Amino acid sequence: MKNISVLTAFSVLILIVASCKKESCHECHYDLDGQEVELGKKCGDDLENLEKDGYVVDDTIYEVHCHDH
Amino acid sequence: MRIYISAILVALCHVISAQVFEGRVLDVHTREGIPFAQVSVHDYHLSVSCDEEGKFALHGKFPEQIRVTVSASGYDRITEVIKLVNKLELFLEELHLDFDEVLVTASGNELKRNAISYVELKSIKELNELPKISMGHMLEMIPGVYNASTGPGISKPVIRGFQGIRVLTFLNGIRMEGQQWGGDHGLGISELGIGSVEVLKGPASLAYGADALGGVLYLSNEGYADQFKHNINFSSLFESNTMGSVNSLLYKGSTKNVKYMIGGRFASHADYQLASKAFVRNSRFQDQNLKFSMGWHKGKWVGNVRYDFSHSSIGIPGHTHDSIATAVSFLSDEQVRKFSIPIQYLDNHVASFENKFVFDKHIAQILVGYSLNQLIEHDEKVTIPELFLSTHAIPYKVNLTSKVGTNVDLQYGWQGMYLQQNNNAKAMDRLVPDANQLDNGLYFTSVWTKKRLRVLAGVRGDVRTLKSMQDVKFTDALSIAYGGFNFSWGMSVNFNKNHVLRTNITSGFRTPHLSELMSNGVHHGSFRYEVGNRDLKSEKALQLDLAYEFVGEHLSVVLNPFFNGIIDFVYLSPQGFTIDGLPVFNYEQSKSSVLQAGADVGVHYHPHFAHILHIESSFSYLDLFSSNTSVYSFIPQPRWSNTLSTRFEMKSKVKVNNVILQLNYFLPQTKVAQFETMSVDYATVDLGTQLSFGKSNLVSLQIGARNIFNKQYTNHLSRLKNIGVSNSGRSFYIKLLANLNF
Repeated sequence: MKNISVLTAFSVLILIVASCKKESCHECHYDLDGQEVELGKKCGDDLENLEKDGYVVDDTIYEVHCHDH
Repeated sequence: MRIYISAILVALCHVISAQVFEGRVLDVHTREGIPFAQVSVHDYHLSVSCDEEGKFALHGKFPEQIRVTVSASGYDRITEVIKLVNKLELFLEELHLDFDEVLVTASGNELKRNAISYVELKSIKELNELPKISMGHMLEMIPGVYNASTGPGISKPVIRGFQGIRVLTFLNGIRMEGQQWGGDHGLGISELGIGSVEVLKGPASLAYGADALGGVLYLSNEGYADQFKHNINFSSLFESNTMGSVNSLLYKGSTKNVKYMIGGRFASHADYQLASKAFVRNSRFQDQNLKFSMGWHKGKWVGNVRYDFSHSSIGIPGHTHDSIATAVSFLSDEQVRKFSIPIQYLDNHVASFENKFVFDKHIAQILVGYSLNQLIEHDEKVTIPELFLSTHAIPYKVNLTSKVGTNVDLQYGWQGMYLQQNNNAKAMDRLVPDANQLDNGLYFTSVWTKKRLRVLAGVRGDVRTLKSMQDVKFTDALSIAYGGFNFSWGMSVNFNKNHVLRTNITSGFRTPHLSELMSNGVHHGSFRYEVGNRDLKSEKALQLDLAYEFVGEHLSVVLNPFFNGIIDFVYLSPQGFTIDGLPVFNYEQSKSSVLQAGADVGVHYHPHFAHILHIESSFSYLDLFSSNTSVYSFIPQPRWSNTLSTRFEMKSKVKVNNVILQLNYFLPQTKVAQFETMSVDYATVDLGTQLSFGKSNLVSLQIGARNIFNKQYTNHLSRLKNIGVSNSGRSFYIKLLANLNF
């Protein structure tokens, strides 16, 4: 019983330590005439949709970049 | 080797039932008990420790004859098959110089000094006397083993000049399939719960099948806790260069018949710093690891279930949007830990179920495993991966070892693996198509022993079938089969207790990998556009390996020259134009054969007049001879490693265990491939010490610095060399270790 208790306590401790995850958010922009046009911080589905579909301005689709390199 | 074992008293019966076997480990000369000696039954993954009088008790049900290893600090170890009786007395001889900490090979379950081929066998504890940042950096402490790196977060082992798919890695007998074909994909294994690493240099297809052309790394879990004991091990490392921390916790427990271990590890490193004080942008990385293992034995049946998980987030350095890139484009004044793109996420799951049936003269092993490697690479978008590859593998093995008479040992079996590689539809690109692969091999090995002579002969046949799927990008499916026939012959002679001579001739083969046959795309981490070639044949190698070993009272010497001939070598050939802004490389096959020749030489001197002093030196050298050497890249620099250590045996509450000074000198490398640059020589100096506290060494502390003179250098095998980015500058470290036994 003592062994099982110790084993269980360790399992729970390690799973707690290993399972933290945060939603990621990023500053996004698109390029227009050599200038970066900021779109602000985007998270979750908004972020994914922007990267997938681009940003539409006057029927023109601009590719969106959401990273800081 | 002097082995003195006497099985005193009469064997109780032929078939032993469940009971307690009591015994004692004694000094052969004084006949006094050896305190805290350890008795291990390797086939059962079981061990017990002696008390202060050298007495031990082994509980359980075992066959009449079992193989045991007996060891104690300051004594020569023995591994022998003994008749298990009550009141067993085992004798050890005092040893002036303890050269090797780990002596039993995982692959052959025999003493290293009795092995027919020369193997490098090191404990992780030994490799970590000066703590290292990752497993790859630990392995480069082994003679003949190097580290091909893309910053500190991505490292691949290099054995005798080969790396990637030409080097196989096994974890407790399970072949690791971690996208080794990619230059930017690391090992995927941490040191958590690993006890030892064994390195087989050169072709080893007889034991490990297709692809074991350059060498094999065999990693084994550390032993379970002693019978009826528990152990908690905690370690915490801080590195100043990356402002990194590595924390791990491992619990081990053991009852009469069941043993288990569970542990976790977390490592986080920010960008690494150069000697110039600048930081290498996006070289940060993070690892999370979990480990679980449970073993049991019931009569002749020994079982083990093991599971290892790792999740790594690794920044890919060497990326810039500057139109004219220089080395400065990849550097920053700021050290960053937060991840940005390009980045790779790696998940590794490795599970195995091992069953062993131990009979008096036969051992049958059935091993089946499952591994999943998932690689996700983000290049330009944070939510949409550029590459998303999953590799599922089911390796299996049925192995039988039999003792025939008193002189012959046979080993035979069947080994194979089913592998499936899938691209996820979320990915923007795919470098290789989806594919299935099936390997099967049959092997037979015999070892004949006569006094001090041992001769090995073995043969093996392998078949690999590979089928790729059709899709929009890869419009032509591929279905191909490769065969391989390999052999091994070896001989070892113990001239007397000090001199051992080993001669081995081994063959190996490697079938072309899917990436070499079918690639068509940007290989992001390696900064290339790669194009495959469906006409490639298997590479073949034949190696002559000689090893002379002298082990004296104060001096140990190893000379290990080798000659390795390779035909049909596959290489990347630059095409002189770019696609998507990256240089195009085609996979091609060399028409000329190549001869690799080199040697690993090692000396360990322990002067009689200074018992605390150890001087170790090793030299690794490799050269190539071919009519066209320009196709062979990443030939390691010759390396001269020197370690001066003082090892104290203090009895105070605060003890200095050791002080270690290490000098590594890398000679220049001028033999380079067409697209490679030469490398200059350099030397680095590391210094460290270990302190321990309390009578039972409950807590210990390692403090020191690597590259203490802050030397700016670039290793020839660094993938950042071509963009002018050097290796790490000075790093101070402090590591706290706590080891609790109860």
